[in-house]
Amino acid sequence: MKKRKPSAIDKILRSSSSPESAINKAFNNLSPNKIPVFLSVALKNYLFERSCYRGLVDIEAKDIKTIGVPRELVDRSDDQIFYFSFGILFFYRDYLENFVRLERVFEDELLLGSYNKAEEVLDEIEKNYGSSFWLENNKISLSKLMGTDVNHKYSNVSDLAKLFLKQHGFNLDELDGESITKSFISQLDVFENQVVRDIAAYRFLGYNPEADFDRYKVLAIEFNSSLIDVYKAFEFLVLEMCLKGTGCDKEYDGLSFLNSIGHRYYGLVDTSACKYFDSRFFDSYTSSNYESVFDEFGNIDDDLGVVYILSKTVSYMDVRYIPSCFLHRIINYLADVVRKKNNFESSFNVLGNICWAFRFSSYFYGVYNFLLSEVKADGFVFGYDLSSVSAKFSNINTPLKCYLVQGEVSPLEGMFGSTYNNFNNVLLFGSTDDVPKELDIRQVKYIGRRLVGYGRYQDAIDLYEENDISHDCEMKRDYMFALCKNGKTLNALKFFVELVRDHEGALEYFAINDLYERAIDEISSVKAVELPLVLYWYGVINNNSINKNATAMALANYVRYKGLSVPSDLSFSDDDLNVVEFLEHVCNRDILVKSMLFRYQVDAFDERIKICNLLSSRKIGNTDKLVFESKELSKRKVLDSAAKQVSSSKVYADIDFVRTKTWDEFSECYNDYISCAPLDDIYEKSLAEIYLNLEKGSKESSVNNEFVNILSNQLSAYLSIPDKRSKYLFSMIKCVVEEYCFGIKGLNVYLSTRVRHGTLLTTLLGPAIDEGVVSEEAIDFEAELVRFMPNVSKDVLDELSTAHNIFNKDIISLVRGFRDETIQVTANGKGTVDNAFNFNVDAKDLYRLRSSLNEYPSINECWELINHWLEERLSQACKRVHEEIEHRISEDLAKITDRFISRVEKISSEYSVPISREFISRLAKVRKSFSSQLSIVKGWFVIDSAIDEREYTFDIVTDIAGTMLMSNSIEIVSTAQMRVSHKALSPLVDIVYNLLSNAMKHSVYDKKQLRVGIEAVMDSGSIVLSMTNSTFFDGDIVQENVRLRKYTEGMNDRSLQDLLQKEGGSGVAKISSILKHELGSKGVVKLAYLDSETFCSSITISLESGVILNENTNS
Amino acid sequence: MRILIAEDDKYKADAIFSFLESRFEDLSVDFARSFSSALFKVIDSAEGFDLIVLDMSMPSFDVSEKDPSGGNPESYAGEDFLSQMTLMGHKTPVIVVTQYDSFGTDEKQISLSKLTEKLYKDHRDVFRGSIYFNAATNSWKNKLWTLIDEIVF
Repeated sequence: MKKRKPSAIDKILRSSSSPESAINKAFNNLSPNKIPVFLSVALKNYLFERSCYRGLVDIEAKDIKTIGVPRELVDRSDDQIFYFSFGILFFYRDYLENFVRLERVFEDELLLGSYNKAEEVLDEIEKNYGSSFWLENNKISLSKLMGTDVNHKYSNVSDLAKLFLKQHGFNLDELDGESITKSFISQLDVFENQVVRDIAAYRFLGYNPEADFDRYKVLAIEFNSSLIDVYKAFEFLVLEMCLKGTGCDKEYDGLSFLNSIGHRYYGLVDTSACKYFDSRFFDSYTSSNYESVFDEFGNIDDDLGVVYILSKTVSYMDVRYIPSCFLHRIINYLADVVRKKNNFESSFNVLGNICWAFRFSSYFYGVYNFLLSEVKADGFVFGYDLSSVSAKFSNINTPLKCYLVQGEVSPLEGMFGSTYNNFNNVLLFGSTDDVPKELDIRQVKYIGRRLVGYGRYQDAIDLYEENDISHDCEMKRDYMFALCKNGKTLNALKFFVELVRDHEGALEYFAINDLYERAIDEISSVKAVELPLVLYWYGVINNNSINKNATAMALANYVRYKGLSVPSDLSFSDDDLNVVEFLEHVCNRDILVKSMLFRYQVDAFDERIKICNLLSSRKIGNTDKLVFESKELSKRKVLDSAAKQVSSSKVYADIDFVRTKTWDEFSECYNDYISCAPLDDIYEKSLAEIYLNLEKGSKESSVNNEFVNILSNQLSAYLSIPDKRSKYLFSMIKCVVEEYCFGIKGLNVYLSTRVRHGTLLTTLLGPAIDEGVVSEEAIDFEAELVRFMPNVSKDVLDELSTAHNIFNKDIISLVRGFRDETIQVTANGKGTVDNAFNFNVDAKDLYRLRSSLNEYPSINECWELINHWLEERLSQACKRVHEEIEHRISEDLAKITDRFISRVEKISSEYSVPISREFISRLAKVRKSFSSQLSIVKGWFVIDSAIDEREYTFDIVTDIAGTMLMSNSIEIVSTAQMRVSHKALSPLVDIVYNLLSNAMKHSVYDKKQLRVGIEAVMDSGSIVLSMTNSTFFDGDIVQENVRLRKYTEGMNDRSLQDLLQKEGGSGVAKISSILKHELGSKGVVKLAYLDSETFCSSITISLESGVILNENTNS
Repeated sequence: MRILIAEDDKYKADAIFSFLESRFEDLSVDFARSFSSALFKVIDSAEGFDLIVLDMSMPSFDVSEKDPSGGNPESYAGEDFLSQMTLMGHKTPVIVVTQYDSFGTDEKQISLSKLTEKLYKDHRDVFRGSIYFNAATNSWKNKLWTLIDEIVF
């Protein structure tokens, strides 16, 4: 018998001495799609007996020690990694088939709310398959749902795995809070090592379409974990390919494999595989008979197609399930998101967090994609059509699914009642067909889209307007799209503004690109306030330069169109919400600066103060925020003007911008802080210990170390927080610090553009460069030397050149090190300890900050405190830069230069060659220049004197309050001779502002006639500040003063709080509250008429408040 | 040849001016030291400019008696200037000369090459290129001249 010719695979196996070499040869000699065949043979070969790939089923989470790419998969192509994984999984397909079945049972029990049963399924999976990330993740998340302690769940895993899982468990505490994924996505850039970044993103985010990581690298890395984890990474990769409809071989092969092991999704349209579901369900829904859908289908199915329909149904009916299972909760959350009214944001966050908790379940992957389709304006934002997700993830072959997958519906003819006909009728609706009369509302939706598709925009508009589309956000968006396409831009703009107001939080869903383009086209001919307002709202989603400047130009053109010179001249009624929003939001400081309505910054800022004052005095808009903004701008204006000097400092962050940008988030954290009882909860000590152990002990690979270091750096402060209240304080600080350090107008950007780029090197080395001794680029120094010493030998020239090269290299590297390490920012886990500008918050900072706040501080106090802390840190950073310059840099520059000079002298003496005097003198000049240039650079890091030591005269207080009120026409005569500490400045400004605005409000005189007098005296060990103003009272003064006394006396905390709310945060209660809580005084406020023409308000300030009465003041 | 140099760094502005002066016989140069003064010069100028040499980071307003410390520094004032030019439909060619390059790991998001790419995409009617200014070398002069050559001749 003729001997069989050895195949390529046989040859590879025979010529290999180890599994690794065989795999490498297979990769080098076979096409990727042949790798599975190779593996099917190889894994049975004796050579692979001891290979880790044969023992994959025995690897568990407790064995996971590294997160690197396995050696044999390093530098392999995506196709090679894919087919390698495919081959391995195919080898274990029987094993995986059972797992897929059990996973399905687990998901079903979970959705039914049978948590104990779900837990039993997980136990069974553990018994059969050992531990895996998938398993441990689900166990921890399930425990959280069951309300059981999750800590014991970490016993069966390695320390490295524990690190991920503890982090997961820790975040589960936030399930009902803000989006967990959002905050993690924003921190991904912390990871510099790409592999670490990829695996961290996958572990913490799963296949979140917003998470950018290398899918194939992750699949390769998962070979360090368990077989189940490899399978999950493969499964999601295939599902994502299917969603994107790549049409590649990998997609087809991967899907076939998933189907072969009983995967629940993507059953192709094949009637034998079609799951049976009562077609009346779909018929009721597509006939808009929502009551029937809701009433008759009580035993709901967890198929995602059904879930989609149910959530839409309850949303349209505006009813919710009384939750009897987990799935009901999910549907209710989805319904809130679909409706985009109350609870929109919170439901989106909570459901998003639930999907995150079970992110390694493909069911929740589907739910999350459906969720995203309800918040994004563009359904193709992630490279696939989000609107098709629910149909693709469904196992029920509806006409829609059939159409999406096969492009036709005919295979389902006869299987559905009215649904099929309705769907088919829409498909058959021709471009010139008349719009049918008496369509039900779902037909309106789809015929409307068909009309738009045919370019029959007016017909579509008429159809939408003839019907009530108020319950359906999709139709509202379609209507707006048709208006845009039909050139009815103004109508579309007005409709968009209404939508944003009606569906607060759902801005991104309605922000279609067509409207934006139309709005930009209309800037030069703007005639409606809605245009700048719409551009502003788009800027909230995407604040780029074009948008910001377009908004500014639209603002200016609108003001000019109205024949005015500034926006505050607009006349409007309080209920004209569009103008109010325009003034409050669009006419902010930054947009005004870019509007070209002002030739001076001070005029633009004054206009903003005027707008804040205008709105707050009429109590429209967010009054607290407006008053605070006005105060901060006024304060800066008055203080800058008082400083009367131009600072040489290049250290800068735009704190006003930071405040405006972060205010909403800051307020939310503040409200959480205030509403949270100041009691300690569980201290996450065990987690902190793990970090410490890993930091000390994990030296297995540099990749692991980097991961551990980054993660611990990022989280250590957070983890060390002992109680919920401090955690909210931490969040407050974190959001400000992030913007202050890394925001578009933050410290890092300015350090980058004003110091690090170009300027630093040019300034520090400029003279040395001019002398031709130092250069960043390769220079022909030898030619220079020949000029100085024309007769020296080649040997001498070579020696001198070498010495010069070393000198040049040392100088450049010293300055670059200073630039790239010292003058950098570290905060919120980004950066390193070498960076001088360190804004990381450690436990000590947190305790210190918390202890300086009283139990219920005002938001202003919190802001001031954090602002103060930032200034302190900035001052420390500048000090550190100065020290670096004075000691290290200055000394090293001198040393390097001296070393070069002595080397030159030595060469001169060794070769007996005289060195040109001019050359030596040049070097001496350069040495000297370093010191003078360093002084200039030092000047860039000089900031004002220590904040705590700053003191102001009382005039500054009245100036600021007067600026806030734009009260230059009021005659204020102040004889109060006081000094005010930095800490007391803001509260005292608030008090004087309130007193002044009350005087303006209650006096019968207008601003020009109003006279205000302020004086301060010492009385019984306290300062009494009195403000009198001209008025006219026609009544019984004694009786009125009795009434006023009753109003102000004996205010306890409760009555103060009540009054504060009643007054809307202004007036007597506000003043009393500031005195008590911010100035540590008793809160005494006295109001009285001195006579019928003079009203007097007086307050008593304690001497410990930071306000000092000058000694020469009469008492 | 009418050129506007929008640059707040006097040393750099002088260096650019000296270079242009050495190349053009009939040169008229206007200077602006901030975003708004540059833009107002464009808006107010009756004759217009043949070329604008623009810095990327400038304050928002000039130092003046009314604003003794000038406007706030703006890291991307140049980009904002280009945005307004584009939106107004101005066609004057603009060359960005900046001391900005692509060093430093944390700067990868805003490296000069990336910024240039973005500026070409967003402002193709006015933006003609960007140059890294380094006082220690002459290469910026050669690059600037190459760009001017493409625009003018």
